[in-house]
Amino acid sequence: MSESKRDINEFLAEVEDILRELSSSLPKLGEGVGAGKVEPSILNSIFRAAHTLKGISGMFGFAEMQMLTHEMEGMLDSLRMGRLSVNSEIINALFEAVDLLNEMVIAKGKGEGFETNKVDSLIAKLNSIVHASFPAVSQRSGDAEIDKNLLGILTEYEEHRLTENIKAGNAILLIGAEFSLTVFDERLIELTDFLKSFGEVIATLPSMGESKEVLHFDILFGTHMDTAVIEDMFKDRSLAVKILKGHFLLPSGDRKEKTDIELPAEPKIEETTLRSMSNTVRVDIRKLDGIMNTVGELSQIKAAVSQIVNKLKLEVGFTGVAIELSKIDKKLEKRLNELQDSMIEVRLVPIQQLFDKFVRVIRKLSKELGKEVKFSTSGGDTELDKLIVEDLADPLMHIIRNAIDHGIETPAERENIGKPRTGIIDIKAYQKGNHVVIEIVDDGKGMDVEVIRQKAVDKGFVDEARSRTLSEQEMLEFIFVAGFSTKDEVSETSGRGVGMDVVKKNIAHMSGTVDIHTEKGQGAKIVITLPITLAIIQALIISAGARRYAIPLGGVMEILNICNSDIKTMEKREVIVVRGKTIPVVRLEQFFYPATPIQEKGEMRGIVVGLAESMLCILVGSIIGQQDVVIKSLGRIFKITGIAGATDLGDMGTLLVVDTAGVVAAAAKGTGKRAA
Amino acid sequence: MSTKILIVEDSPTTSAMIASAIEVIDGMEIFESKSGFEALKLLPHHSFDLILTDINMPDINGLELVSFVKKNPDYKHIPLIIITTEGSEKDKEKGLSLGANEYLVKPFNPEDLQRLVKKYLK
Repeated sequence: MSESKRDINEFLAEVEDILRELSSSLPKLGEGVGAGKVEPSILNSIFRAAHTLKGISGMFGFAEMQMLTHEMEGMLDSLRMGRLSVNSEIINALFEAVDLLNEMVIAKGKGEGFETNKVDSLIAKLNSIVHASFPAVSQRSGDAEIDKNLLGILTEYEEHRLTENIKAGNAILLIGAEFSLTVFDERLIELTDFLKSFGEVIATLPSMGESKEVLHFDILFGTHMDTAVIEDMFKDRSLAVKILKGHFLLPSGDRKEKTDIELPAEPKIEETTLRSMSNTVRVDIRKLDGIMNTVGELSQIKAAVSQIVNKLKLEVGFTGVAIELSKIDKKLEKRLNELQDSMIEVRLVPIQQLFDKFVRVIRKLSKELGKEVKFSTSGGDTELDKLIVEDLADPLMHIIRNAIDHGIETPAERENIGKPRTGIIDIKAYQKGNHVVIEIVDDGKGMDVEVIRQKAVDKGFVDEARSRTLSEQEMLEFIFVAGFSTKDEVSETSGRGVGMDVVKKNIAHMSGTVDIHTEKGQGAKIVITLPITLAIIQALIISAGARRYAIPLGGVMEILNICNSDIKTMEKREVIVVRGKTIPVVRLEQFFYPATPIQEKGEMRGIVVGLAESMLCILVGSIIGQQDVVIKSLGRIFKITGIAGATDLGDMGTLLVVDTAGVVAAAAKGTGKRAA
Repeated sequence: MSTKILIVEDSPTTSAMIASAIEVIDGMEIFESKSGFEALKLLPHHSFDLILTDINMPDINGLELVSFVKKNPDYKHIPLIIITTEGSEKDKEKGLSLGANEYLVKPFNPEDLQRLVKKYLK
């Protein structure tokens, strides 16, 4: 092999990671500019991101990406070195660059080309910003007090930060600490995090400790605090503090009381074995799917073993071998459950990844639409299956677009009605049992139920008389009907052919639900509820006619015993009435095999499923049991309405898994025809 | 006996490319560490024959690592090559004056890297 391996996927994954990081650090830089204080470490991390992007795009020969990131790097270097000051124009340009890089990555991922003139014009823009700005005057001030040997190790940037600290009149300290080789990284991070709360860690210089197992670190630290106070804080510690440049503010008598900062507890040094070097691995989700399938199959084999154990117990009695086997079977079950749980766990990613993507889009959109929006999130560490997070991006984006476009008023309108100029969009995620709830709240004008009602009548979704009898919640339901839009002209922002109906459909596909709550003039809240993972699901094993099916337990609300006499016909549709609520009925056997005659006999089971506000009662023969199943796709060739895939249940053979969302949707369209 | 090479590079893609460029040379055993801290942990446990390091890294940077290695009696014999992007000439010069043997500018040509590696191994 003479050519180096160029794994484009690895490249794309790293670029995506870096862009995500930039999306969350750029707003922080923006806040810093707003507050008049830019955090050097944030600026430096953004510089490093651009620097890495430039490096790797160069290695892959992606010229336009390299040129753009080169220009970004140059500008950011000037910023971090104090040759240029950050302003909002620069931040906007950086956001624009990140957007463009995102587009480029998507194009690269699809193997498509990219419009180079967009890149050229942004490069020209970055260039003109750098040249039009007045360079900040850089003056070197006396670092004569600092040891030449020390200066020799500092990078140009670290040297610059040292100079800036000296210029600001800060004390410069060299804090020496020794840690064991096995734990130094954790301890050092603890110590630097603590130091950062009252100064700037300029550099961390490692050297050899007394033995091979000990490392010494000199932390070059700049602080505005009184040197004596700092010295006091570090007294009685295993840290050596050397003052390179002092800074005394307080007379010595006042110092004691000012020492109100508690140092982190002295760490216990544990002399243990060498820890693993790398803490994370990047794995293709398909590989995880593969393992997951094996785990699923394993639990089915285990189910077969359990059956044999039971048989054995019946045949030879609960003695000898039967007891032993039964014990082992129990252990196996416990371990398998653990394995399954941890498999689910490794698929989970924090939803923050998604939130970070929205920051840029919201910024861009609100600018385009002339609105002021403050975006806040909470619960970003809530974890969800990686695949769900991916599939959630578009529906959530659509909801956010709607909120900015239709919800939040213009600053002038807001002021007129006594609201603050800046609207709020808040996304909150939290876990609730086996589900994750995501709430998107805005404080815009909300939805006018009367307008929705009128529109639904105009569009012929409902007649005038009936519309008057609908509850508010039922009227909000119209928003999810295809072809419904409350804004007359389709705007570029929200009207790209997809509507809330698609949002609802996509979320229902993930076995999730969407609810809308709104108050006219006060805003809207959209609540999405999703299962944490889709890979292994709990399912009801049922029979319908001669066949057995698995029905995912996710959407099941209740199971009813039903006689033929319970089933009424209303507008040519079969329905049942449960506690005063009318629920349409689908007979599962006839759903898949419409020609089969309906058996007019005895009792049946009705499985009531609720998906995104629609309820349906699925009639089946009997319920056989409940089991964890792994859904396998039938492939593209077998696309059958109402079937999500198949699952192998060992002894019970291969069953089809019912796609409840599909059945609900099909029933809503066509039940009348089938029943007629 | 194999030749042990330590790559210190925070970008996984770059690290993989450096590794794939040199793994074609016979008898290479390659260790990748994605930060200076990781490199500090690996050093006492292997006797490396060559270190390749980036400069811009999050915890301790390349210069700090060069200084650590070259001031240490146990490690100072290990040849060290800085691999970094163009720009910041001063940092590269400092690296050389701290004892780094050479530097290579990214994007590099795999043959150039192989030539350098061979030069410092024999």
